[in-house]
Amino acid sequence: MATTNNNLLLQTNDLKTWFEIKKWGFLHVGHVRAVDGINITLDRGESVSLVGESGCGKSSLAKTIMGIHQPTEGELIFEGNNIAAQDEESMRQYKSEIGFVQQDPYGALPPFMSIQRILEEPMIVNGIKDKNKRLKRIHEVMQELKMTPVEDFLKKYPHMLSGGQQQRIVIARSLVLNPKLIMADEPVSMLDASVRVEILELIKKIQSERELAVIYITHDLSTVRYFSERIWVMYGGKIVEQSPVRDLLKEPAHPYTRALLEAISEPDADNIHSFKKVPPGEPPSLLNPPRGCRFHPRCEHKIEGLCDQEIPPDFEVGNERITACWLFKDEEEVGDVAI
Amino acid sequence: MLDRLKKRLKQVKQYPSVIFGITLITILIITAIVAVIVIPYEEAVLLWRGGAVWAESPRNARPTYVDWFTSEDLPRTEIIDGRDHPDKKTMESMNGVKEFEFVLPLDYQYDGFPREFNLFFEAEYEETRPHVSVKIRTPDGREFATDDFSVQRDSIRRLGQLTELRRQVDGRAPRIGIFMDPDYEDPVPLKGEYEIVVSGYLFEEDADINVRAVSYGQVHGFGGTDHRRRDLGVALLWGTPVALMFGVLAAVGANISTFIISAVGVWYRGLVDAAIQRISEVNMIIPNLPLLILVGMFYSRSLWVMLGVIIVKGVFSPAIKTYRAMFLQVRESPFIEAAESYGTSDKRIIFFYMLPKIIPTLIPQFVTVIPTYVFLEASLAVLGLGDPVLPTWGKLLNDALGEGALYMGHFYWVLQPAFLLILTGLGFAMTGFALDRVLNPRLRRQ
Repeated sequence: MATTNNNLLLQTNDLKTWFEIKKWGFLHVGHVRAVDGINITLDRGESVSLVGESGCGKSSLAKTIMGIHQPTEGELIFEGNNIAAQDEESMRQYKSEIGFVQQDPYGALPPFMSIQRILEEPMIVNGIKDKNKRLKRIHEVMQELKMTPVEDFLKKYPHMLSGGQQQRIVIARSLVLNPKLIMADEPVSMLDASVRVEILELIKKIQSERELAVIYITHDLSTVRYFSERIWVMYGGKIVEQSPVRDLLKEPAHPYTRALLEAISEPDADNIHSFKKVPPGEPPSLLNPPRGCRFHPRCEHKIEGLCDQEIPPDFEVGNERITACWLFKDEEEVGDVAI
Repeated sequence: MLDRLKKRLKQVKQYPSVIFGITLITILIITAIVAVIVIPYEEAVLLWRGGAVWAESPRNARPTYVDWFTSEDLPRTEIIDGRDHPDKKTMESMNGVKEFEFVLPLDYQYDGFPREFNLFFEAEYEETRPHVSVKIRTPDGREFATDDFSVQRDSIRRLGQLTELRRQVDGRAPRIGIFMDPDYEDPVPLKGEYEIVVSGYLFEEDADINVRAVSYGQVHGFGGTDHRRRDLGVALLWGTPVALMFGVLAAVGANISTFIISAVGVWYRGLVDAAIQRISEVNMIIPNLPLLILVGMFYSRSLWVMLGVIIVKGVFSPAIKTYRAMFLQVRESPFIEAAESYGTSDKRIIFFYMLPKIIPTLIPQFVTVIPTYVFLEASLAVLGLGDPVLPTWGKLLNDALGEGALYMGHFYWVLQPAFLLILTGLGFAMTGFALDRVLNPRLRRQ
């Protein structure tokens, strides 16, 4: 990890977002450790995929980064400022730097607002009072997204558009404030297969044209390869592996990543005779996570007395590759806080 | 959003019930406006609470429209004022005493007897009262005369109370004895020109006198009259604006605040939500009517106080639970999450994102709930807790109840306000149900 990186956009140091569970409204029961000590870095214009199964804390991490959830502990540093310790006004400013593309395009658009209103809202909220300026910005973004003629769309309501068009509007909304980072939370999982590639291409194109950083959240490894340079694998509220996509696909380090890769279906007729190896057990409860490595109850390479006792630190296993697994305890350990 | 609402509202036309409902509401609103313009508030209160103003109206007269449905020509109220017939007044002066005579013509062509017959005198004098005697001349030339009597400045002579007249008509009531045809055994009115001759003496130089003869009808006004000669039409007419105002204000005050409060609770969750829930639960077990009766008995029966209590009581109404269920769903919508992600303020999310999602379901509910408040006001009035000043439908029912109107056969007293209450309920309910079908597509017919 470079100590002086001018290109650095976002960095987290031991970021934690815990949700308190209460009984009868006041008795403390415990915490859901949705985000539990995460160290990541993101450069400007970089595209990273965040992969993990349902309930592993992907969305909570995304919302913490977007400022919707307050981090419980740790630092969230965006362009050199610690966001976690900021006042409301600069928080809003920070939120406008991140665009959000959601999973369900129909649900993401308020059904009672016209497209024009939907696209204007972020600008109204962020204090752009001049209507002509707002409209000009909308026209620019819509043209960039090839939604022409623009006027035809502006008067419509979300339900009058197709799924692909709706998702384009969601993308347009995330772009009207000229953000530096796009958080794409499974942007294509609810779309028709025929539209998926189109939308992914679009996001990719915008990313390279605008030099946007994109965090692409998915549980579908097959689109990751297509989309991003780096990948973060999340399991049980922690990042278990960070790696360039190519290297990871070739040679996964963490046992969980291996299991994940093995589960990818390839359209091959021979597969009908082979069974996929799936790690036994279930994803850990984030309310009461297992001691030591979160994955150890399901891991076939478990080291007794170590994996089930101590939380593995991050080990550097290759060029820009980090994994949190005791199997690599001979490799160099990454410093806890590296700035 | 408004465009969409407008478009939806255009579909309303497909439902005949809504046209009927809206027509009814429009009629009621027009009636309310007309009532307020034609009879201003002070005049309405005077007409309802006055006393002297009713003197020339009959007691317990049926509404005029009853006449349309009967084969007989029911008598109306006839007022013959001496001032309108200056040519019929003669005045002769001798030795400081003035002798006067009025000959008031009454063309009586009705098939019934007058309900009453009274003479109203207005005399101007310093000390000595004028002396008067009355003679009534029938079309067939018979004459009935009273004794001499003296008149005060404003005085009423009721024919029914003059025993000498009663004697002349074989002990019958004078209004029947005088106006009946002598050829028939049963009392049948004799039609034709009657003359009421009022003659007498004024004992002072500057003294003057005027007389009005009033033959009270059996039908009066479009609403009839009650036991105190009050015109029920005033209350029927003025009850409309009062009922509509009460219903709409209570619905607006109680429903819209409930709506906003439940959204606020759902948005902030935690303590705010818990507090709102507990308050509304406590509020739910306090019954409305007994509370209003207590307020009416111990504090004030003013319509405004009652309205205030209903609104305050309605803010944390059970509807909060229904709205909360809807808002909980809205709160988890991705578009709320998106709004949060671009930094929308709490207030803006509540008013611009959460409320508009539910408004389509609120509108029909709001329309349907208006008559329940109208009925509540009427129920309070029937229980004797109506506004002490204003004429309302409920107070008509209360009076009718008190006077045993149905037992006495005064059907109009009960049926008219009841009919108007039903019309109000029907109008709003039909509109509300149709709106519900239009705005909530799941209920829409294929």
